[in-house]
Formats: sequence, C-alpha cells, structure tokens
Amino acid sequence: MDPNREIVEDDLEPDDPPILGNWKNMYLVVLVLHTLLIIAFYLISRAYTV
Amino acid sequence: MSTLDWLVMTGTLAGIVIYGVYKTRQVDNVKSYLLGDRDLKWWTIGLSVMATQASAVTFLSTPGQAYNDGLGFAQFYFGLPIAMVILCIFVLPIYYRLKVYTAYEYLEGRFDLRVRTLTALLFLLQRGLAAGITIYAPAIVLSTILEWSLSLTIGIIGVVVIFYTVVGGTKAVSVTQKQQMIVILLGMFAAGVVVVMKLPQGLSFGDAIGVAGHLGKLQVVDLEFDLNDRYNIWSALLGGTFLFLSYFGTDQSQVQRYLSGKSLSESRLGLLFNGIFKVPMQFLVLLVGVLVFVFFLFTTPPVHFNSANLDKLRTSEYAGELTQLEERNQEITTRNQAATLELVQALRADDEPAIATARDRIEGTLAERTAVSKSVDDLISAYDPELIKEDRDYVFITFITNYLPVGLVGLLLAVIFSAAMSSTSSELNALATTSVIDIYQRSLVTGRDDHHYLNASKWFTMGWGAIALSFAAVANLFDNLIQAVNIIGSLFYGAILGIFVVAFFFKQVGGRAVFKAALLGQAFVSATFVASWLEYIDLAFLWLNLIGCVITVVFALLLESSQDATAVTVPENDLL
Repeated sequence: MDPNREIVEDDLEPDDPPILGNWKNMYLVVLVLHTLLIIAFYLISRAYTV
Repeated sequence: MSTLDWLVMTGTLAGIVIYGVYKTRQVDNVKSYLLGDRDLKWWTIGLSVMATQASAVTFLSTPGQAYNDGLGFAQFYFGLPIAMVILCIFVLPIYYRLKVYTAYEYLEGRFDLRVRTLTALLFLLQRGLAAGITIYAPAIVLSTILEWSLSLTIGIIGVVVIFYTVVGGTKAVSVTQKQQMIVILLGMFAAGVVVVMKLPQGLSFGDAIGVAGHLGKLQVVDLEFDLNDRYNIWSALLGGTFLFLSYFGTDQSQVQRYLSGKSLSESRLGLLFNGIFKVPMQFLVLLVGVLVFVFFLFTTPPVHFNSANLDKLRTSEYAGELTQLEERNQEITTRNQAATLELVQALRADDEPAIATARDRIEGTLAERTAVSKSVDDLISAYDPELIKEDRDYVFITFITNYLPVGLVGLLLAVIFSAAMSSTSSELNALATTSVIDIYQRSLVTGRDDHHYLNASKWFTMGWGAIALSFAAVANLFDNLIQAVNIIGSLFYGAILGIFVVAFFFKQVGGRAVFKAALLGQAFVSATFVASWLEYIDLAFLWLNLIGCVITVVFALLLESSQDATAVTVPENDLL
C-alpha cells in the first residue's frame, strides 16, 4: 500500500435495498418501528404508575 | 464451579477463538488485515456492530441497574435508531465513495493534516482508556468466582483477545463477533427463562411482571425534563442521539465494522439491523434484571452482593454483627414473601385496596432490607474504608453462580467472556488501525512497503493491548463500570462529532477554524465536567456530547467568518 496514497473518489454502485423499493422507505420503517416501541414503553410505564 | 460448567465455558470460548483464527489464517496484507477484504454481509456487520457495543459491562451492570432502578435505563438507547438512519443517509455514502480506511482519513481531504491528527489522537485517548475497562469488567467476575488474583485474571483475558486480534486482524474480530453474539443472545434468553422457572410454584411470568410493575420497576419512559436527570426521554433523544452519532459515525471501533461491508447496501442494512434490534435487546437484558429482583422477593438475597467483601468481614471482628444482620435479612424475606404472594392474589382478583395494602407492606420490608444493606456497607467501611461498597455489578453474576442449573452457569460465564472479548478486540483493532493509518504511516514512517505496515499493525495491536491491560489494573477506582465507560466517551465524543458535523454540513469552513474550535470545545467540555464533578453545577454527563459538538460547530463558524473578514481564505481540497 502506498503510504502517501491520496483519497480517491469512486462512483458508488447502484444500491437499492433488497425490500421496500428504496432507502427512504427503509428508513421510514425503522423510525416508525422505533416510535411504536417508545409508545409501547410509554403505555407500560403509564399502566404501572403508582 | 462444576466440571460440566468448566467444559461448557472453555469449550465455547476456545471453539470461537479457534474458528476465528482458522478463518483468517491467510490474512497477509494491510488491506485484508485492516479492512477484512471488504466482503462482509449485512448480518455479520449488524451482529458485529452490536457485539462491539455490547461489552461485558452490558451484561454485568445492566441487570444490576434494573434490579435497583427498574427499566428506565432503556431510554438511554432511544437516540440510537435515529442516529443509525442519519448515518446511513449522510455519512456512509461519503466513507464508501472515498474508500477510506479510517474515519479520520477523510478529515485530511476535507480540512488538513492537523485536524485529522487531532481527531485521531482524541479517539486514541478515549478509546485507549475505555478498552481497559472492558477487560476489567469480566476480570472482577472471574477473580471473585474462581478466587484468582485480579491481575492474573486480567492478564489471561487480555492475552487471549490480543492473540486472535493480532493473528487475524479485523476479519478475525468480525468472524468471532458473529459467533459471540449468538452465544450472548442464547445465554441471556436462557437466563430469562430460568429465572421465571425459579419463581415459586404457580407463579407465572405475568404475575412477576404485575408485581414488578406495582413496585415501580417497569417505569421505562420518563417525560419530565430535567438537565440533571441522567435518564429521561429528552436527554436520550437529544444527548443520546448525539452520543450515538459520535460513537457510530466517528469512533473507529465502529466505523471499521461497517467499512468491512461488501457494499454500501450491506453496510446500511447492517446499521439499520442494529437500529431495529438494539433497543429491544437492551430492554430484554434489563427485564432479566427486573425478574431477578422479583426472584429475590421470594428468596433471601445476600446482604451484600460482592461475596469477596463478605468473606473479609467473616474473618474479622465484625463477623458477629454480620451474622446478626444476615439473620435479620432472612426474617425480612419471610415477611416479604408473604406480602408478595398477597400482592399476586390481589392482582389476580383485581382488588385495588388489597393491592395497595400488599404493595405498602412490600415497600416496608424492602426499606428494612435496604437498611440492613446500609448497615453491612457501614461494617465494610469500618473494616476497610478503601473497599468499594457499590455492589450492583455483582447482582446478576451472583444469581448466575448460585441459582442457574449446572451447564448453564458455564454458558452464562461464556456470555460475559464473549462480550468482553468482542468489544475489546474491536477496540484494539481500531486503535491499531488509527495508529498506523493516521499517525505512523502518515506522519512518522512514510514510504515503506506493505509488509512493513502489516507488521506495524500487529505490533500496534499488541502495544494497545498492553496499555489496555495496564489501565484495567487501576480500573477499580470507578464505582460503576458502565457509567465510567459512558462518561469517558461523553468527554471526547462531542468535539469529535463537532469536527465531523462541520466537515459534512458546513463546506465553507476550513481546517484552521475547525482545529481551533475543536480545542475550544474540548477545553469547555473538560471544564464543565470538572465543575460538575466538584458539584459546582448539576449536569448529567450525556449533555457533554451535545455541548462539545455545539461549541465546536459554533466556534468553527465564528472563526471562519472572522477569518473571511480579515484575509482571503486559501482554497481547500474539498472532496464533497
């Protein structure tokens, strides 16, 4: 390896996700699942508020 | 420990290490050693990223934290999925486009060599310290259980990790982490099942949850805004998101995991996998701790969970007082058990007045139990003021060694070892990579052949291993290990993240401004931490991430605009 190598920009390959069509949908699914999880945690907390 | 437990533990660990060394026996160049030939699939990346973050501290301290304080610590991870998405959108494409070895390599192209070197040094400082703690955590467990000396235990763990990390580099780290994570998940699930089975006959998982909930152990979400509260939803979503952006986006121990991906898509999927499963995993680890709490409502817990401290008291002049306190503890459990069964019956009958009465009785007996523990702490202090009285890190391991069936004890000890080895190997690998790529090869010894830098990478791995072992030897100065790791991270991550935020989002800012701003940001964070430590101000450590980042960004912008006003800026090589 050249120790003084320059960082070379390289074109990225097309990278569609394997499901849901595009990355925007993938991100949306992750954030929606997370929101649902927090809501579930909130409901658990509220159910047991002493 | 039984022979079967020894066989399970050593067999599991040896199998993983041998497999890792075998799979990476042909690593013979720097690229392969530091980037693993960039051929990993998303599930290996996802498990590797999780295993890097989940140190032994996670499986020792976290259940103990839930035992004492309930599920509130789960909030700490609420910012993580948000951070994963932000990194997938903004950061991963840049790293992939530039084909960098380290996160800091990118900064030289964006700013200059000074900024790259400063950021790499900040990383080396904080990660070098944290690596010691990740070795120390399982060492205290083993040294207590096996009655070995702490130094010997630290040495054995360190040597095994250093061995396979030096031999196989980053690929050995990722390959072994996949196996280690599978062992960890199986072991924790088994522990959760066994603790429910150990409850008195007729009591179900639902009963245990009902009891825990009515004793305040299921309060996950705290909506109250309080700057001094370490774990509420606001500090998690703001401070936590910044912490995880820093950790996953700029900490080489994590960046190296996903830079080993076969493609940008595989790396993105690996991070999103982490974003989806990390919070539920932490929740389940905490839930095991809550179930252990319920278990000890029916079974007498030790008056103090660190058995080494109790052994010292038993051979001292305080032995008589300790025996009296243990008898009192036993008597409290009898009443505690009866009151808890009353609560279970009341819950089944949905009888609100009876629920309130039983809850009050349990809270009364728990207060008595706390008073007994406090008296034992006083005895420990009287015996030797230097002994650490905090015992939450010993809660889960006490349950494992005393109440799990033969065979499973060995598996759970393998879990703790696996967690320690997985995170330590990532850290050593990342420390060596940053040392070689960002400092040694770039500024100290340039122009040598690939073989030289491969050997240098191996020597740096060994060197950082030795430093981590030395720091592990003094890590007992920290009361709570998981907090120590997070505090060390929060001290440095803010400024590092600030540099990267400027790099990604403020293209007009140059190297000179961001370098000065980062120094100012780090100085302010350090001063704030000292002020908080000396109790001049009340501030939870998670906010240090946000403070360091914001100050670095704001000062970089101010300094850049003042430079613009006084001089013509030299055009920089902007790769974005």
